Amino acid sequence: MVVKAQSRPAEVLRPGHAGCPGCGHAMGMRMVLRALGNRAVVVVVPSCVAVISGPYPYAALNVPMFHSAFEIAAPTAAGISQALKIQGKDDIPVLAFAGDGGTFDIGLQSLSGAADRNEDFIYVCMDNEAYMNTGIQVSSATPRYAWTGTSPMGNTRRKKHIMEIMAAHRIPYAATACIGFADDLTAKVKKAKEMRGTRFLHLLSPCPTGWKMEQHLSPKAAVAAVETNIFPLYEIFGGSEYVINYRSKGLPVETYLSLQGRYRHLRPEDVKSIQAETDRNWEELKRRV
Amino acid sequence: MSLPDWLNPEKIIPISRGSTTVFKTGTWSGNRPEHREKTSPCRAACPAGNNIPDALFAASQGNFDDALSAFLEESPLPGVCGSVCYHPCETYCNRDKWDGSVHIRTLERAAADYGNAIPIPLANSGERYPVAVVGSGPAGLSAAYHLARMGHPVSVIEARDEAGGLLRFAIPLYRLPQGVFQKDLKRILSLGISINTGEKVGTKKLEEIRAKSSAVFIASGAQRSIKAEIPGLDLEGVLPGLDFLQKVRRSVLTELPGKVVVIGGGNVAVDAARSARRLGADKVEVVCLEQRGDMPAHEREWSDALEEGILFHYGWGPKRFLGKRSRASRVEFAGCTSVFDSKGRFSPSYEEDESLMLDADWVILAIGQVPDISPYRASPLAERGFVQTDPITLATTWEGVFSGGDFVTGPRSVVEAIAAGKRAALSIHCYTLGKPFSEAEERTLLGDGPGFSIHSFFHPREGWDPKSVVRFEDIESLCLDQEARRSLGRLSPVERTTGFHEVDIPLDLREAVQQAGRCFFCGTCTGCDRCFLYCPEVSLLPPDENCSFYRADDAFCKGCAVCAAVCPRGVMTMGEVK
Repeated sequence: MVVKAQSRPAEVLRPGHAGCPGCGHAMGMRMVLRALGNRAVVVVVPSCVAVISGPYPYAALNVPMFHSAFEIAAPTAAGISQALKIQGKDDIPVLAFAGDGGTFDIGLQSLSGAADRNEDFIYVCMDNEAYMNTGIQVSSATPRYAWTGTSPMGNTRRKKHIMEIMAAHRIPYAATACIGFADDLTAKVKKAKEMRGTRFLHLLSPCPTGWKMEQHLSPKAAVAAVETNIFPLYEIFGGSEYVINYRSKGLPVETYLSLQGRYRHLRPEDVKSIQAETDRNWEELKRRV
Repeated sequence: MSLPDWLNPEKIIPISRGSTTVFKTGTWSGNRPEHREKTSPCRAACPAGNNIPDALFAASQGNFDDALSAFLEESPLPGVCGSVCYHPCETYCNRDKWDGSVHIRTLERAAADYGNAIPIPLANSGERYPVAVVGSGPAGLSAAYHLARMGHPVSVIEARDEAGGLLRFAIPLYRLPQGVFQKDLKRILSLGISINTGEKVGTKKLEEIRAKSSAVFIASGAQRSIKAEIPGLDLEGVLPGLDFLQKVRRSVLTELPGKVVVIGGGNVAVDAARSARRLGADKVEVVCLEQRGDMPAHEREWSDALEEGILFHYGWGPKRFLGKRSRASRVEFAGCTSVFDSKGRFSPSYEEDESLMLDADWVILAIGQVPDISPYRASPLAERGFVQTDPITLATTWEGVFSGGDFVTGPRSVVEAIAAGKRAALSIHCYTLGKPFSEAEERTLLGDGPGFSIHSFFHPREGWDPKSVVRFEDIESLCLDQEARRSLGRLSPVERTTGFHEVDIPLDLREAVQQAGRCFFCGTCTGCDRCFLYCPEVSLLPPDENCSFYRADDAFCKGCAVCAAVCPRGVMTMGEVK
């Protein structure tokens, strides 16, 4: 069939970046940025996002981007946002990208401070569930049982519930999204863009390298995470009003786990325990709605 | 104004002004995606090779004109097929392995009902050769239609007083409403085809036609009812199946009081029984040699007949007809122990001790139909007692004479007749130009064949691999929604038997759009943009003025195969750097 030309939003991410082939982060960044538009300021901190955004003196983003220190994505964004307001440019959104390490671990304190003051920026946590660009070390976003370089027998701790932490700050908007559901992700970025105050997006973006998958599996793994309820898609308004965006197929967790080499060592009882915890979390989430 | 160094942002913080596009990451991998459209299993299964994915995509967008246009690429009779086809497409539909096949047949009918389209001409060579077609049934009309689209002047010769063959005179109205066929026929005739009705053709006449035409296609169907050597056959009230159906369609028979016994297990027998029921028969019984489940009639027809209160007796063969005052009153049957002999030939054997006696005011004998080749006595056609053709080219042993459809194969389905007509059309086209047909066929064969695409022979579709058929495993099931196949509206058995109203209720417009939307459009790019959107390298280029399909930017593509993985229709395929 001859496909007719259609109008598409401008691309903000440029080719030639250094992401691994099939990188989920690159897909996520691309989707977030094209939803945000090319009139914006972006902050990045050390993470795979920083790798993708380009080595000096080259940039992979088509918008002004500030490369800040690991632990201060949120206050950097807050500062830029304040400065733009002083200059009278309060229509320019500021968006911070940080990895799960920069959010769950290293940047948590400063993120909490900025959220507490309800500073005006969008914070996108690009979660690939470990410190991937330094060579796959465990973070507090790494799920239980997952292999990383520093949890060779499988992670013993459970994934930190970052959405609850953000909800506890009573920020106007917090949402989960993943690269497997592009429309949902786009809608959430656009919705966040129209709001003011601290807006938080927890974006699951599978990592073929660190999750030990084939290169083409990132979108599929992301869909599987949602369809198994391991990573439900939902929004929290004002820290208390929960909305579930997608009614999953409720597939068994094996659908998700079996795609990934980092779970290859699981025993049947481990899978059972992941299933039980997933079910518990899903019931808990539904109770909150 | 120049700033001092300690205030100059360029000096305090390094600023990247270059673009990462200087890094040609395309060298990272030798793998590259290719936009390669494939054939959907429904299309490969359709004898007529209908372009179902394109048609259903247009329908899903509410564009029934384009949907009809897509069906008209391969078949002149979408309304007819949409009503009566035995739809092998739905059997092979990939969605059948998920949550029930798409209602393809009914959607073809919806396209014919709601759409209007002019058949796309097949680019012709500029050379025009007059072709004659004998018979205006589905095979004849199909051949005439495609030949006319190629620009050849076509004249059709029909023995009856109206065109259509069994579509006009045999298939009961409750399966094929007259208006539906007429709309198809009108469209075919709009191509400038002349139909001479009431003209019978035999050896001598054919010689005349041959002299005036470059080629002749004979598609006279299989219309001679087989008459078994059964005592009492000449009793009044004993009717051959096809004659009976024809009398009903011509309104010669408008009521049928009394008890009716139909003999035969094929579709004509079931059509006759159901027609008899509608003509007000008190009791209709079908008696066949075969056991239940082995009947040649389509299962749906059989179960419909059961619903309508028709009784079936399985495993009986007629022994004799008994009459009162030269009128049939009873039929005696013998138990049939097997229908075929050890070599698979039709040769029923009976258990003479077992017998069944049925009262009958009317006996309809529908034990099969055969082509009538008697008009062609003393011609090369009749040399072997049946018409022999080359299965690929449909050429007979008589130079310039082609033949196909039921006239060659014996009774088959409407869609197979349409397929034969299409094959004959392209074969005749190649014959008149002196080109080998096998090459033309080979280029456009759908899957393993025998269906082929006549449209894409004349209008090649760039980037389409017709032989490659999309399997269910090629579709990422994780991304599929559940929307079970809905059962369609039908008249209740009571409503049906009060007249010849169409049994299947056609889809309304809204439902048709919805049902078409269930199609996976296997192997056909619909421009959904997923491959483009998911490319982490921003290096998949969407269609534009210069190129009508998605392709990788060689400079940056890292060959990760995400585009192929997210394609919901199996179009993007991994290959190597060219």
